[in-house]
Amino acid sequence: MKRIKKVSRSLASIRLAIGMVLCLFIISGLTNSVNGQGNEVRVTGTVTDSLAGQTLIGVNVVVKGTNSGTVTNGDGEFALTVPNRNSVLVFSYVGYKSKEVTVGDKRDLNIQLTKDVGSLSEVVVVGYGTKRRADVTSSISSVSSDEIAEQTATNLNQAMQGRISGVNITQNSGAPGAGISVDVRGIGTIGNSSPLYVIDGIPGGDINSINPQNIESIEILKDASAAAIYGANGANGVVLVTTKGGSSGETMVNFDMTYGIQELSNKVDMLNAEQYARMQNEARSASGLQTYWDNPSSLGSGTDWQDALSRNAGVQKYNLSVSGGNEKLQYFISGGHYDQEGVLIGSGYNRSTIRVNADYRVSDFFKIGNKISLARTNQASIPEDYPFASDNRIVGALEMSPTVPVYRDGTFAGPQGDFEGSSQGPNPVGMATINDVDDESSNVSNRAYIEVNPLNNLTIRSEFGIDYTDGNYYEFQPTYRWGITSNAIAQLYRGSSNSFGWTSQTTVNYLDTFGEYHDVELLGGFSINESRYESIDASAQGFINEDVTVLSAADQINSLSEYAEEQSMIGYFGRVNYSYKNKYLFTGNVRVDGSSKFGEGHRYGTFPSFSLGWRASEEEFLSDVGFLSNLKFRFSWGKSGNSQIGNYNYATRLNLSQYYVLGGGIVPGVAPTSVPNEEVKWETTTQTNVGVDIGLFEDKVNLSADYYVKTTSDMLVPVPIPSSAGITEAPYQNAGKVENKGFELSLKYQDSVGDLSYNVGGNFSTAKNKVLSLGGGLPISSPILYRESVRLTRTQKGRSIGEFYGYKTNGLFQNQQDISNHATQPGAEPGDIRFVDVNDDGVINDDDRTYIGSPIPDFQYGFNAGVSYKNFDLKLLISGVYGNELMNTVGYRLLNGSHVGNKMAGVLDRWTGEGTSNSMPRLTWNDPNNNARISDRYVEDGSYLRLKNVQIGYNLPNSLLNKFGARKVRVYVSGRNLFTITDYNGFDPELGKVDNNNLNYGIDMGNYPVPRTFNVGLNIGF
Amino acid sequence: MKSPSYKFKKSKVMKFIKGLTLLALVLIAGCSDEILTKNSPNEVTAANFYKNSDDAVAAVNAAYDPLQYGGLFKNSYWSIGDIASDDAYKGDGGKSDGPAWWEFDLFDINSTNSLLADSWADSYTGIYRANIALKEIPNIDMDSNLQGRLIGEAKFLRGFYYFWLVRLFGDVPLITKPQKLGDLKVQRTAKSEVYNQIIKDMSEAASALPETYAGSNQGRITKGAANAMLAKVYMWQKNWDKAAEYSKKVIDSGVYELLDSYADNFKEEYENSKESVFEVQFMKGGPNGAWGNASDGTIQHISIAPRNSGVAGLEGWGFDMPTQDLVDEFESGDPRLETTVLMQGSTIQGGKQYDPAWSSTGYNTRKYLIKRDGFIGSGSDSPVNYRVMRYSEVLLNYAEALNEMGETSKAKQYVDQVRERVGLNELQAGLSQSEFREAVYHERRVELALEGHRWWDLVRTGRALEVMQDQPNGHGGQIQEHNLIFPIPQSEIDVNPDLSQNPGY
Repeated sequence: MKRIKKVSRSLASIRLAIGMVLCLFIISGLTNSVNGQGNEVRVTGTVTDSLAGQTLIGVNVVVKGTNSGTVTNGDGEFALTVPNRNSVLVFSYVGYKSKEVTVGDKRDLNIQLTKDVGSLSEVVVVGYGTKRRADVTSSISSVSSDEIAEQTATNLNQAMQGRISGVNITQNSGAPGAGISVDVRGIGTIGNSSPLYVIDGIPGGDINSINPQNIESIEILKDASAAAIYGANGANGVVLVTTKGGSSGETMVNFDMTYGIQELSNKVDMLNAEQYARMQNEARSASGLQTYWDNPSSLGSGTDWQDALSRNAGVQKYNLSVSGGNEKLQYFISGGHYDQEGVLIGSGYNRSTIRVNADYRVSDFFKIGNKISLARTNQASIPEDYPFASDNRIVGALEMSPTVPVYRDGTFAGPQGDFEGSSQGPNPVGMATINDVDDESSNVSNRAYIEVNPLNNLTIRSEFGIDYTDGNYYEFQPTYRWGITSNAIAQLYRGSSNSFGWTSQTTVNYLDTFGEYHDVELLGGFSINESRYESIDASAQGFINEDVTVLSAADQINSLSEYAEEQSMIGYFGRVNYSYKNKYLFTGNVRVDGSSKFGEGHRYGTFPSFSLGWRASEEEFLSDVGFLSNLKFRFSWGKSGNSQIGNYNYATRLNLSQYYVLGGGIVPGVAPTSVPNEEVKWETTTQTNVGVDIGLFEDKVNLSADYYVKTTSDMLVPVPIPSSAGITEAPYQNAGKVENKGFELSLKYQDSVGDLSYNVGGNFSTAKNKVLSLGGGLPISSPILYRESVRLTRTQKGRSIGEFYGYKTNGLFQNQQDISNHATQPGAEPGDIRFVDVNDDGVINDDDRTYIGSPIPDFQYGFNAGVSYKNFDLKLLISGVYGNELMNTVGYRLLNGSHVGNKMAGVLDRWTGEGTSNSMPRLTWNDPNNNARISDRYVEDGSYLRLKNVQIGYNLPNSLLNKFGARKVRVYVSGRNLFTITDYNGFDPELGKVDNNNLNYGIDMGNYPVPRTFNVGLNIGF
Repeated sequence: MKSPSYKFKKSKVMKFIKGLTLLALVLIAGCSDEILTKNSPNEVTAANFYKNSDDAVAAVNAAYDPLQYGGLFKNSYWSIGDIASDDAYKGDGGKSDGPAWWEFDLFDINSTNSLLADSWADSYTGIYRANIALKEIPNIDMDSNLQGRLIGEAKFLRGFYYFWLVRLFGDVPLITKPQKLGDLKVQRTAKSEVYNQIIKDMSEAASALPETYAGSNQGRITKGAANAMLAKVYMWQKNWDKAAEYSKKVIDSGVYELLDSYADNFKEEYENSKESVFEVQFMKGGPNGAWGNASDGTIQHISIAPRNSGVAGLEGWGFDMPTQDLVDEFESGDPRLETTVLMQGSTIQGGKQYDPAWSSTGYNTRKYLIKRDGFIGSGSDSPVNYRVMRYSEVLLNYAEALNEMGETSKAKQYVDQVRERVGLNELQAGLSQSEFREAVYHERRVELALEGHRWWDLVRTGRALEVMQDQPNGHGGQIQEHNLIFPIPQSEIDVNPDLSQNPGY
């Protein structure tokens, strides 16, 4: 019933999107027609690529010194009237070198544009402005809309993955719509190390609501010089997202559709029913207990729960956009719909978006514009990231006894007793099917600006942005009885939340040239931002009719709570750009930021930075070196800040809901539930960067290399506090210093031979993380993950952040003699694990725990290649990491005899007598040696290489297109995550952070695996 | 062309001025620092609180709140008291189903045990809140009677939480003032010093507290509760004179008597009865949900209800599973067995019969089950109050103390009162001191069975090793001497290395 509602809702949103786009299409036709001007000389012509010879569509043709111009049509043709024969036409096209042509006597021009392979003229978005790539002196990486289009990416971060050196992007989960961890240049802090997202010039906003196909470019500001203009929260890098705009000229309509099938890319090798029963018998016998199964061999292979829970799932995507305009008005309108089923039953995600971007030049010195985006997302999820089978469908599917069938007596089957692992929870397929979790979010994001040019070289720009997100959470757990597992009372959880933020910022920009060689640009500005989040949550139980699941139909409301928080920030900033002869470049920034997150006296932070560049290739002494087309050295230094902590840390706050019961009713209790840290202040990152950009053979080869040292001091850490404090919530403290050092290299090569053009690119980066000091000097242990009272990682001076912490193992005790020869290890018997006596005190106890692996890779890399021949093209992207370790806590559950549920097939190689195994311990129900304890047994090599994306496309030839009147028709097939090379035993080696906590990084809690996807797509342009 | 150009420039200047004005306006608005001052909309700041008697009451209520937490009466108190002893097993479900309970059953107790970690953390939460109340309330301008009472309540609670900690862990950090962020790392204090503080707090509480409360204050600590608990603390010190003195005060107060029906003590309908000296209050449907520390109900029902019953309202995890050893302890005809244990022949919800196949021992715990027929509601949010100290225990404490003082014959009548209430014969006259001691031990075991007392009685009377070693392996048989106190939670030592671990762990 609910499913049907959802489908019809998404159909409605598609209709709405299409309707709206068509409507605007008609309007845009009208604006085009009011374009006529007087005519003195009429010229026509065709623009083609200088090498491949294909016609170029949408090339800007402008009469130099005026605003009049046009763009080439679907055949690469243009027609234009110019004032006189001396007029100069400027042809510009993204990715090509601009060309200027004097009209003269010619009336039919054949213009050839050359690909600007080095893209030095490419414009890069920087904080509060843009810059030519050639003038950039800091470390900025870009992802273009073409690169995004190559991928059938679901979201912004997926589109960046594997593309950029120095940026480590990991999907926290393969679930549709799930979050992603992004770390720019290593893990800069124990606290929140997420970068700052700036969407169309305004910091903040909901990145999940952005349709990747609306993105013009993504820039990642990696070094301090680039990021410091966003001083506050720039310390972890800044991701600038710019959405598409229109350009003057013919109206362009683009329609894209993709359909794909996803499948589970990997399965964990588990025991079958017969093996399960045999292993369980063995474990119980070993502890002197009665066995459960008389005749295991009669059970056969039983149920494969991974197969039962997974499915081939569809994914589809539709996008329609219209763009165009004239000199005054340019617009881009787009409607999109994305719908993904999850490969695991019960999960799915859809997103509908509408975007209208428009710029209007009111007069020569006055311009206004607005970008508005409406988005609605809906995520149906199944519980994961939790170590218990009853609360994690993935772990549930692994642990459920294979002796239980999926269905029995026309409903879902359940375990019939302890012997079938009833404590491991109910039938995971049944739970995924009947439990309904829907998380809807509606988002409005608006960016408006006014730009005034009172003087030719002075620009004042005021921007106002708002972001509003409305969330609606629904979770229903109906009643069931399957075997001996049951839920007698239906439960309902509802949540409603909204967040509203506004930003106002104004910049003044002055540009001038002094004398012949001195170019100066000055920028000053301020920004103010305020946001509020509020939520209401309720839970209820007991429903007479489980089709009606509203709170008011419940027998009992279990809880009702409201929460709100507010924050604000003020920033003042300035920048100077100076260049001498276009060879010697200097940029200086300073920003002062105030944040409501800190108490009076600690609110403001000052973040200066500068960078220097030397374009050596412009020097005369290098002008003879013909193959060297570009050589630039860069140096930067700067400080930036981070204030990503909870609000009100500095204040002594008393919680009002510490209720007790007296006289049969609730009485309010008031007590602090947090310890204030009045002294809490900005975390500061100081970064030094040296880099070089090299272009060879007319920029066919481009190389960029950077080395950085990034030191975070006054690191904001929720240093765990002893619970003897009477409070469990640890306040953020400015505790310690972390250093990240790394080397980044990116390389591009592109060339063409006849009809064949090709490009290859690669990136490689290292990030070495080291804790230089910690506030109290004490190591910091990770928070306890849920009910297991074990802290899995520890962070200590001299080591990297969040290293795994536990026992070291040294094989198995083969006999009694081995045990007597070893340090005292209580409960040990032959076949049990020999733990290492690390501190050499003759006893194995908690003091023998030590560092057993780090989740931080030694290096990461990406490789991409593209080939096009005539109308065919092929693109691929590979990415991977090397040298990291992962903590497979799923193994902690699935490798031990003391665990009632199913086990990994690895236990078949267990110890069964002297010499039978030296790694897999004996199976024992009571586990007196505590073989299960956290040790290096569960730490695995996390290196992997993954073929992220392959796309093969075919563009219909012009001759055919002309018959349809189409500008472009492209069909393609693609595959995502086609294969992964790894030694990791869990589902997937790509593991992010639990709760986005850097201390819980690389821990496999039974995460939703990343699926393998095959797509077919069609792209039509008119 | 010239004239438009001139106009153009003029309007350009105008716009520039307008633009600058706009900019200036926004800048001035932006300069305001007020926007950076934000207070939490959900919480009150300390500066605006502790001003009047309502604030004082709310501060003390918050110190009661942790009594409902997992580390106290929601879970750990009875789980440890019963399962570590010879009265109960953890129950079915294997080691990975509730490993913390299992560890107490096996006597393979690890420093990662969550029942212990909860007990530690939740007790200190109570202590912290009592410390705040004790610091702030004396400075509030309010009715002095109420002020004195609230201080008494807070002192009792602090003493009570420490009493739980000191029995579990031995030496523990003694914190009697709210701490600041800089001084959270503390060392353990000698057990004797902690006991001195407990006795001081409880004595002061006893003199400040009223005998009874009316109406909406029912459930607060009374003078009787403080005296009775103080007597128990003295019994742990083997200070029999004091134990007798304070027990006698409770008996002489005339406030308490035994209920006619033993079984009524564990029912929701007889909460805060005349037999109940100290009772932790629960209710279902509180504002903080059905699970977790914040909930105002208890998970005792769902924990102990039979695992596989399939009877609506009587389904649970089957923990705290009574042993044959306990059942055998009851004299034949002792009606308390029927109240304590679900067994063959027990009539349950809806007039159905209990099936011994629901449990691997053939028994389930019966006290504190939600008894109403047709009960609907989450078993995780049981409303049944926990009787921490019943008058029958006061009588038995007094009898034990008198006997240890050599006044055996005087002691007899108090045990007899307890036996007579359930229709059993008086104790035989003329028992020797040691015979009488055994008789009291027996009476305590059956009278207080599965109420979280047994393990502590075994430890207090020095019988724990001897009794538990006779238990089957896997159910306590492997107990060792160091197990008489439990390990300091490792998660606590990890963040406060100044804490030493107990020997053997």
